[in-house]
Amino acid sequence: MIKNYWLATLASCGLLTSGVAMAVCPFNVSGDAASDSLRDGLLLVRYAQGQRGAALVAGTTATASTVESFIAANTAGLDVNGNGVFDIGDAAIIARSVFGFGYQSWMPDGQAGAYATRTSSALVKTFVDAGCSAPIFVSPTTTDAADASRFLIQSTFGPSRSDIAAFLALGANQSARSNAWITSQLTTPRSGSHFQYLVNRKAEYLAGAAPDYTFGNNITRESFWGQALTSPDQLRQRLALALSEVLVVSEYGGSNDPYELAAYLDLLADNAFTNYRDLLYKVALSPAMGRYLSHLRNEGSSANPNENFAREILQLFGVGLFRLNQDGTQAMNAGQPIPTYDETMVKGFARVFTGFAYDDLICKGMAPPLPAACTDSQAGVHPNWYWAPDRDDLGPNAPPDVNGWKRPMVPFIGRHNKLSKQLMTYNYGMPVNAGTPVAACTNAVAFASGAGLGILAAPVVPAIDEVTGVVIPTSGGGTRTNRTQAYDSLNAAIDNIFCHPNVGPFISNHLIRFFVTSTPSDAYVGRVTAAFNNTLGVRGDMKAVIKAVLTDAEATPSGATSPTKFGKLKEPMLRLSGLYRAFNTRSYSNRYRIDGLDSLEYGINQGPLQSPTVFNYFHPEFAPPGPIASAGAIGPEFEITTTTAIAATQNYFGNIVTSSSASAGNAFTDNLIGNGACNVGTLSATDPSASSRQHCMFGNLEELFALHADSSTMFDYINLVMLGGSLSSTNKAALVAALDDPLAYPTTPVPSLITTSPNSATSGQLSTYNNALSSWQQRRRDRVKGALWLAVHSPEFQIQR
Amino acid sequence: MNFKSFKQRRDFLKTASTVALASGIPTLDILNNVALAAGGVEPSSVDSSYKAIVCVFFYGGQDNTNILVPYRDSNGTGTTEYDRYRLGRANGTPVNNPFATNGDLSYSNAQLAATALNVTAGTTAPGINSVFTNHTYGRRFALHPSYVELAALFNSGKLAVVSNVGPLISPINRGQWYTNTTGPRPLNLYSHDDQQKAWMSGTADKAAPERGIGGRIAAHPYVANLNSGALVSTQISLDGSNTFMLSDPAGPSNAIAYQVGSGSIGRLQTTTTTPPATPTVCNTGSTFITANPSSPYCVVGGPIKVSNGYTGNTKMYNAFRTRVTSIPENVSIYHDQWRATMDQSVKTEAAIAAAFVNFPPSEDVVAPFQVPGVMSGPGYTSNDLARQLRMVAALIRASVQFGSAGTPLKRQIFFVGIGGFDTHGTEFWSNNPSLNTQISKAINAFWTAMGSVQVTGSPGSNAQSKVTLMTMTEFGRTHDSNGQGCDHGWGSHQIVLGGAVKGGAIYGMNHNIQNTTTAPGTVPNSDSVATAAKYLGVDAANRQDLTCGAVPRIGIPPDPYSGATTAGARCAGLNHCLSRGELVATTSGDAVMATIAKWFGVPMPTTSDVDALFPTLRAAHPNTDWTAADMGFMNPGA
Repeated sequence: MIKNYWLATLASCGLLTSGVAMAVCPFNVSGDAASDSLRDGLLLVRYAQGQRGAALVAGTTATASTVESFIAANTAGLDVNGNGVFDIGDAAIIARSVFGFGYQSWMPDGQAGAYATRTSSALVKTFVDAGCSAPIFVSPTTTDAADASRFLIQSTFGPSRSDIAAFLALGANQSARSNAWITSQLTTPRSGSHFQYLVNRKAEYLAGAAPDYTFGNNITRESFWGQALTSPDQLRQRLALALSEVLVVSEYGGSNDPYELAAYLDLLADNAFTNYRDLLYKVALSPAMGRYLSHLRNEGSSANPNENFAREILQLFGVGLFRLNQDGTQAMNAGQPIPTYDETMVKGFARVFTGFAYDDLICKGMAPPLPAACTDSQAGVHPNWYWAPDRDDLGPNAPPDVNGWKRPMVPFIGRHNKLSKQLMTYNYGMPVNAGTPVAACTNAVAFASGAGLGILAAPVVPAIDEVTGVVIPTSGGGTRTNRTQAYDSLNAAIDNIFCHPNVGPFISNHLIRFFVTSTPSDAYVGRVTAAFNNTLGVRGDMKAVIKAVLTDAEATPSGATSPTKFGKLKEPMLRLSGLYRAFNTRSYSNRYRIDGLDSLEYGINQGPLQSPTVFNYFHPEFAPPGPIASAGAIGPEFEITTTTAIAATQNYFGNIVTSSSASAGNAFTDNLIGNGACNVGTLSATDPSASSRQHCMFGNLEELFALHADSSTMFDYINLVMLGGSLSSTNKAALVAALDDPLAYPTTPVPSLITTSPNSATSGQLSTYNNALSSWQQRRRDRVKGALWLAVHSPEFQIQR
Repeated sequence: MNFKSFKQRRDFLKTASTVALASGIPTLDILNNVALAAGGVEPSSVDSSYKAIVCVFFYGGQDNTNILVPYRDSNGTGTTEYDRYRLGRANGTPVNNPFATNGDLSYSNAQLAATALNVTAGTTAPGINSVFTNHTYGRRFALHPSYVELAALFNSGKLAVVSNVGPLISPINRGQWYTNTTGPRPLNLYSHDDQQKAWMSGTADKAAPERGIGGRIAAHPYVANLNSGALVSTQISLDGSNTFMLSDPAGPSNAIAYQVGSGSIGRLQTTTTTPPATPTVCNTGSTFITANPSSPYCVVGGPIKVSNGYTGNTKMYNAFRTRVTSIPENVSIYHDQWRATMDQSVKTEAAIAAAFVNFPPSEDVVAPFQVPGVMSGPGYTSNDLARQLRMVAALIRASVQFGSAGTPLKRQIFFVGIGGFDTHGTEFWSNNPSLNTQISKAINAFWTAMGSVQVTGSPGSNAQSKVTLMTMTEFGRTHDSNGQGCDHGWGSHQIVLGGAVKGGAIYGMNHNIQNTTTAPGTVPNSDSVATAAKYLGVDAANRQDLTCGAVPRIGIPPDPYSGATTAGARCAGLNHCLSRGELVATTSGDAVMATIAKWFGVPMPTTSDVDALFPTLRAAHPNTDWTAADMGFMNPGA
C-alpha cells in the first residue's frame, strides 16, 4: 500500500530533469539522470494510478508522451511483483527502491499483492538484480535434464529446476555428474542438529506470551521437515530417513519424548556415512531405542530378561530369519530354508541387552555415601537406575537434564545379566560361500563358528563374575561402576550380528528398495552386497554402499534387467517433499509445521518417526494383489496405499497445489489440517517470537507463471521438477488438452489498459484496468494450479522411474 | 517391538473432526445428518440370505494368561489352580498388587469375580478329538476383568471361548517340543510378523504367504457367485492392508479387498468438496465450474456448491479418470498397480456413497457406539476399535444395496484391528486393562447394533443371527513375568460371537496354567530353574513342589491326545506349557476359521476342497474328518 502522505511529499519536491537514456532497470522512465530517480518513482506511481498527460508529468519536466509510451512498452520488466501487469503495487515497490529503502522493506513478507508471483522482497530483488528480467525456461532437447531429475529424485527429497541445473554443471555426462555429486554430498556437513533446534524452540516457547502450539513431538517433526526440505546435505538426510525405516523408532510406542526422538534423528543423520557396525552399536545404546524396544532398564537378574530388542535387532536390523545368499536370495539346504538363530540365541541376546539405562551424570559421578536421590529402591547403593532425563521428583541433587536424552545408555552394576549368553553360530563357507570376512570380523567369525576363545561348539559370551547389587570399587578414577564387562558382552553381541554374512544382502536389499527400485535383480543386490562386504577392506562402509546403490547400471530404466519392474511407488513423505522442493517452498518463519500427515483419512498415512510398528510403515516384501503380485514383483509402499489412503493422499496433495489466499495469489500453502499454523498476519516488529510469526509455506511458482500461456512448455517444466522426466509425449498431450479445454482453463488475452479517466489517487489500485483484470489474473493462476493439479494426480508423480 | 501405535495414531482423528468437512470426505456423521434431514432413511435390514464374518485382530500378541484365568477348581470351591496362576505371574511378590511396578502380572481372585463364567455347555468327556473338547470338568474360569460385557455375552450363551489356539501345522505337545520328536512346526514362531501372517493365511508352513483365509473364502466360487456383480468387494478392511484378505490376483475381482477408514470412506476430492451443513437445493458456486456430477450430499438434486474450482472441473477430472483404470499400460507394474488401486477406490466409494444416501448409518446402528464409555473412557481417549466396528455396522446396514445393480449383497467379510498388546515392559499395566476394556465395549456395542438391524421378511429376527465375529492375535505371551511385562509366546485364547454360535462354552484344551519352573533336567535351559526359584520365593529343596507334575490337575482325567495314560503324570496330559509358561497351541486358527467357513456356506465335500481352503488344516488335526465335522461351536443350519 502506498501511503498518501508519501505521495504528497514526492509530488512537492519539484524535481528537475536532464536528458539521459531511459531504462527499465534502474527504473529510469523519465529520461533524467539516474541520480534523480525519485522522480521516476513518482512518474510510475502516477502512471499506475491512471494519470496521463500533464497530470502525469506535472512538476517533473518530463515529456508525457515519451514517458507513457516507454512504460507501456516495458510493463513486463516493470511488473516487479509478477502479478501479470504493471500496477500500483509494482510502482510502490519501485518507489521504495529508488527512495533508497533496503530491499527487505520493498515488499514485506506476507504482503505481496494479490496474484503476485514474486512473493517476497528477496525474490523481487533477484528479479531486479537480473535487469528486471527472469530466466525463461526452455524445454530441453536432450535427455540430460531428465536423467538428472531421475537421479535427484532417487537420491534427494526432490529436485527443483535450479538443483537440476547445478547437477548438469557437474560434468560432461550423467556418470561424471552423479559421481561428482555423490562425492560432494559425502562431505557435505549437516546444517544443524535436531536436538539443538528443539532446545531453541523450547526457549522461544517458554518466552512466548501465548504460543499457538504445543511443545511436543510435533516440534521434532518440524525439525525433520526443515532439514529435509531445505538443508544441502540431501543424500545424508535421505539415507537417515531410510535408516529410520530399518532401525525403526517411532513416537507411537515407548519413545515419545520430543528430545529423545530428535536425538535419534541426529544419531542416524550424524552416522549415516559411517560404518554399519557403528550404527548398530550406537542404536543399541540409544535411549530412544532403549525405550522403544524396552531394553532400557531390562533387568538382568530376572530369570527371563525382556526379549524385545534381542528379537528385533536379529530379525529386523541386520540378519533376518533365514540365511541369505550374497545376492539376497534365500539360501536353501536340502530344499529347506536355513534359520539364522533359534530361541536359545534370542534368550542369549536378551541377556546381553540387560543392565542399560539412562546415563545419569550426576549420581554416577558421586562417591558413596550417595544422597537419597541417587539411590534406587532396591539396594540403596546404586547410581540411580530409575533416573530419567525428565524426572523432576528426585530433588536438587538429581534435577531433570534434557541432555540425558542424547547420551548413550550406560550399564549399571548388578543389572547386567551375569549368565552365559548364547550368540549366533554361522560360518562364511557353508552352505553358501559368502567370501572371506574382513579382518575386523575374524574374531567374531571364529567365535560364531565355535572355533575361538577356547569355546567349542557353543559360541557364548562367558558368565560374568559379578556380585549383584554390591559396589565394586574399580581401580582408579573413583567411578563407582565397573562397566567393562557389560560393554564386552555388548561388543561381542554387536560383532556377532555385524559380521553375520546376511547383513550385506539384508541391508543392500533394503537400501535399493528405498532409493531406486522395489524389485531389483539379484545381480544388483549382489553388487551392492559386494560393496558392503569388502570394497576397500572395510566391511559395512555406508559411503561405499550408498554409492553402489545409486550408481549401479540397473539404477535406470534402460539399464534395468526387467524394465517393467524398474521403479517404485514413492512413499508418501517423499511425494510430499518432492512437491515442496520442486518449487523451493519455504516457510516465512523458517518453521515447517506440517502436521497431521500420518492420518489415514485426512493426511498421507505416513509421517516421520511415526511408524505404526517396528516393522516399519510397510514390509519390504509386500506384494499387493494386482499387477505387482501377478508379476512376481514387490511393492512395499503399496501396503499403506489402501483404497482409502490413496484418495485421502491425493486430496492432501491436491489441496496443497490448489489452495491459495487472497494476499498471496501464487502461493501454495501447506495443508492446514490439524495445526492452523498458517497465520497470515503481519509480522510483529515488537514480538518476534514464534507465536506471532507466519508459518505459511510458499512455493516459488514464478518460473511456472512465466510460462502460463504455453501449456506444452509448462508441462515440460513440471515434468522435470515433479515427474522425473518420465511423462510420455502422449500423456503430456492429454494433460495439455485437458488444461486448454475451453471448459477448463484456457488461455485468455491480457485485458487492455484504460488510458482515460484517471481514478481517485487515494484508492485507485488496479483502476487503470477494467474489471477483467482480476478475472484474468485468476485464470492465469488457475492455469498454473490446474496444471499442478493434473500433475500431482498423474501416475508419474506417484511412481519414480 | 511395540504395537501401541494403531491406537494412538488414530487419536488424532478425534481432534481432527473439525477439518473433516474441509477434507471433502463424507463422514458417517455428515451422511447421517444429511439423510435424516432429507427424511429418506429406510428401515434397517439385511437380506434373509445374508451372512457376514467379522475378523478382529489384536496386534502385538495379546497376553492370554489374563484373558482366561482359573477361578475355581473342579470341586467348586478350591483355588489351587488359581493359586498356581498367581504365583507364577507374580514374580515372587507375596502380596498381589497388579499395579505395582515390580513385575506382578496377576489379578486377585476377588478381581475375577465379576467376569467369572458360567459354562452352560460341555459335559461330554473328550473323545479322540479331545483338542476341541468343551468339557471343563466343573472347573470355573473367569475372563479378563476388563471383559465385563463379553463375560455377560458368554453367560447369555452368545459367546464362546476357543482356548489355546494358534498357528499349527502338526500336533505337538510339550514333550515332543523338547525332544524334537514331531512333525513340522509353524515357521518363525515368536516373530510378530510371521505369526500374524500364519494366523491370517492359515499356512504357518509358509514364510511369505500370498493368500489369506479371508481371501480364499471370498474367492471361492460359492461366495464369488453369490456376490456376482456386486458393487463393492466381498472383503472390506477397516484396518488397512492385511494378509487375511490377500486374494488371488487372477481370481474373481469382487474378492480383492477394499479398505475404508473408520470414520469415512476414501473419497477422492474431485467433484465435490464441502458438504452443506443442511441439505438445500444444490447449485454451482464457482464461475469456473461448468459441470458437476450429482453428489450424494445433494438430496434435492443438482450439483452442490464447490469451494474449489480446480478439482470440480469435469474436463480436468476426466483427464485424471481416463488414466486411472485397471487396463494395463505396461509402462511399469507400479504405474498399473497404482492406477488399478485408484480405480477401485473411486468406483467403490461411489457405490458406497450412493448406498449411504438411502441407507445411511442411521441412529439405530450408530447409537450403541455413542453410549458414554464406549468411544472414550478411563484409560483411553479414543476407542478406535469401536470406530471401526461402527463403520462395519453401517456397511452391514447398507449391504442391501451393495449387490449387483443395487440389490442386496449376500456375503461380506470384514477385518478390523487394534494394536498395543506387545507388552514386554511397564506398558503391561498401562495397556492391557485399557485395551481389553475397549475391546469388550466395542464388540458389545457392535452386537447391540446388530440387534437393531432386521432381517428382510423375518419379523422378530435380527442381524445378530447373520453375523459371526471372531478374534485373533499373532501369539499369546509368556505366563512368566520378565520383571516388567511378559514376552512372546504361542497359543492364546480367542472369542467367537454370533447368533449361530453355540456359546456359553469353552472349546479347546482349557487346561490350567502350569508353574513355569520344572524339574531339573526336563528343560534344557537349566539356568532358569534356580533363578526362577529364587523369584518364586522357595529354596531348592522345595522346588519339586512347584514343578508342573507335583501339583496334579484337580480331578481331570488324562488326555488321550497326548498319549499319556496316567493321571497326574508329570508334565504330560493337558500340560502344553513351555519353560516360561507360554502355551503350545493345541487348536489351530484354521480349525476355528474352517468351522466358521462352513457356517458361511462354503462347501467342503471332499478333502481336496478342505485342502484348497485350509492347506494345513488336516495335517494339524489328523483325527478330524473335515468334510463331515468341524469344531462344533456353530449351529450349522443357522
